[in-house]
Amino acid sequence: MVRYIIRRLLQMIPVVLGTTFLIYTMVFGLGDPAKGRCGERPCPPAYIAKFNAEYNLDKPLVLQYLLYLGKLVHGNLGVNFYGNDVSQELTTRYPITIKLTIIAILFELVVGIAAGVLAGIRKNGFLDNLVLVSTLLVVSIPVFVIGALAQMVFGVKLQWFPVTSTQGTLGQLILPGLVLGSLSVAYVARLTRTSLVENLRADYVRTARAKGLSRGRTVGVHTLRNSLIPVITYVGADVGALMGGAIVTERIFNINGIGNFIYQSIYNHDGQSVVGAVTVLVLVFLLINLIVDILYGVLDPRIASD
Amino acid sequence: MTEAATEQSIAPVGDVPSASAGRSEWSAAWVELRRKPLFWVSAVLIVIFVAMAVAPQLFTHTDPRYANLADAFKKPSTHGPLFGMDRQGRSVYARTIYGARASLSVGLLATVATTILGMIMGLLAGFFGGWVDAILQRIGEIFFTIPLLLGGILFLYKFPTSVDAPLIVQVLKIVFVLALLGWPNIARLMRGAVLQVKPSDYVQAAKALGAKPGRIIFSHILPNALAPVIVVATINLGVYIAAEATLSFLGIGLQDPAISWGSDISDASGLGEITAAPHMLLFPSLFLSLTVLAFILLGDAVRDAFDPKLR
Repeated sequence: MVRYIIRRLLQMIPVVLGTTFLIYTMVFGLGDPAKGRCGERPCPPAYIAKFNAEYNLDKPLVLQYLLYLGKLVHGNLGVNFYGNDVSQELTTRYPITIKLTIIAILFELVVGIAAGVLAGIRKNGFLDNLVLVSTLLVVSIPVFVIGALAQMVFGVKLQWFPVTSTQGTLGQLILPGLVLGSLSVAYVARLTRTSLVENLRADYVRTARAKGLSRGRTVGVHTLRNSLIPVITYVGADVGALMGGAIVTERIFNINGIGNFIYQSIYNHDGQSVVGAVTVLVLVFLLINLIVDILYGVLDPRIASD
Repeated sequence: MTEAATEQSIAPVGDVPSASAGRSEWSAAWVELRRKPLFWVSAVLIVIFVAMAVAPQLFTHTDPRYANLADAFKKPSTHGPLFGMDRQGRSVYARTIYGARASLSVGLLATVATTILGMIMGLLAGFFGGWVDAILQRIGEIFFTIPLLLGGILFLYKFPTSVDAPLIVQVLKIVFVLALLGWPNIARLMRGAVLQVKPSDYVQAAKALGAKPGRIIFSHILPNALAPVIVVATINLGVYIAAEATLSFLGIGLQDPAISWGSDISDASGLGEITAAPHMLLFPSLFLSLTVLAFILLGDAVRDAFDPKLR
């Protein structure tokens, strides 16, 4: 187990370096990094010289990147267009995005697994077909359409939920959280169903039944635990999609989280903020995937031992 | 985001290892496919949308860019504008029809690009193994860990599309970034398929008879490894169409004179528009969702047809 964790950590190093280098090169290595810093007009040469010196842009690319990495390790993401510290901007906003994501993940896990189990227990039954058809519909409607529709129906017409969520209180975040998690609920339900159906055919389930265990125990204890392994991997990988989805959801519901910050920064051509926020999100995504991988090794010892 | 769901359910092609089975597997899959009503539903939908993309004039004579402010927000009716009018008094019906071109060309081109790039990388990694494999796998991981939407936002932010750029340039830019971030998915699949086929007797025999790597790849490995790639590529098509719409919705995908479902939905989803003219939101959303649904259904049907366990 320890060897497995160490191996995963070592494998992560080139990926972290590669990913951050890629992002860095794209933003600072190519094109004109000072573009948009002075509004619509081109920047005066004196400003460009100061800017280049401040961000080490006058040095070779690899050295620039290493210096940037050093700053990143210290949590320094630079100063944005408005003279604000980017890491400070992110610090004030991240609790809201985390709340939103947690609501989405809880929704995914509770509703998705419940629907998947109900569908999988009786394959080809009424509930199974209902779940298959409804998940298919949800999967084909993009998040921003679901968001706009939910806002129209539940916010404007029925008035069950607030239309916008400017303060980011828990009550205001429920509808956006459900919207954000809607796509993944469908995938979790389908994944749980497929994997439950496969496992219910396994020999160890037949043995358990033959020994006289109740149906509830064979499904709940024996089968479900094994069936949830792929679901957990999926939820880990899904955090990346949720981060992209958060940009859309926060924009629709006007939530003051990191997603909306990225959207506003794009809109205002505030490059330093865009890069800082995206880099942090990618790093968080990598970290979560590492945790999920380790968890995966704990749940399924075969993975860790090979 | 479909990776986990799809990889799970794809049958290993190695189940039918003999060389002649390669061909019969395809014809058996076709026989299986022909019997599925869902396959025909999705195929008909796709043909309609492709016709819309190639020749929108067949469906409407109205200019999608013609605006008459007097008609702004006009509600849909059977004897007037069928889908109603938008904020600027443009026909929602015409715009929805013309929007198919951008979505489908991004979807198709991005799928072709990711598939070709992914297949080459996967083939190289699986066939040569060793350090080539190790390096290609690490490179793949780097691109794989950048979430599609975040990477797309970063790239299109850095290289913004000017308003007067022709549609094809705007489309290719989005295709480029989707392909750049999407290929590791296919490469991983291809590598797995190659590793499964490589140790089989007929490949070893071909090697022993002195066949060159090129011949082994093209006549022995590729035909056997293609099926799972095609299945995932079909499903990804829907994902790419949704990604383009999302980027355009955020205002950094296709730019205004270009007509796209995503940017039209973005225009329609302001709170004022939602209450005054819900039809502006409804119709492009419906067409977009139907297109994505059609490709998901097609992918599902093709996957079932190739899965010997379900036969």
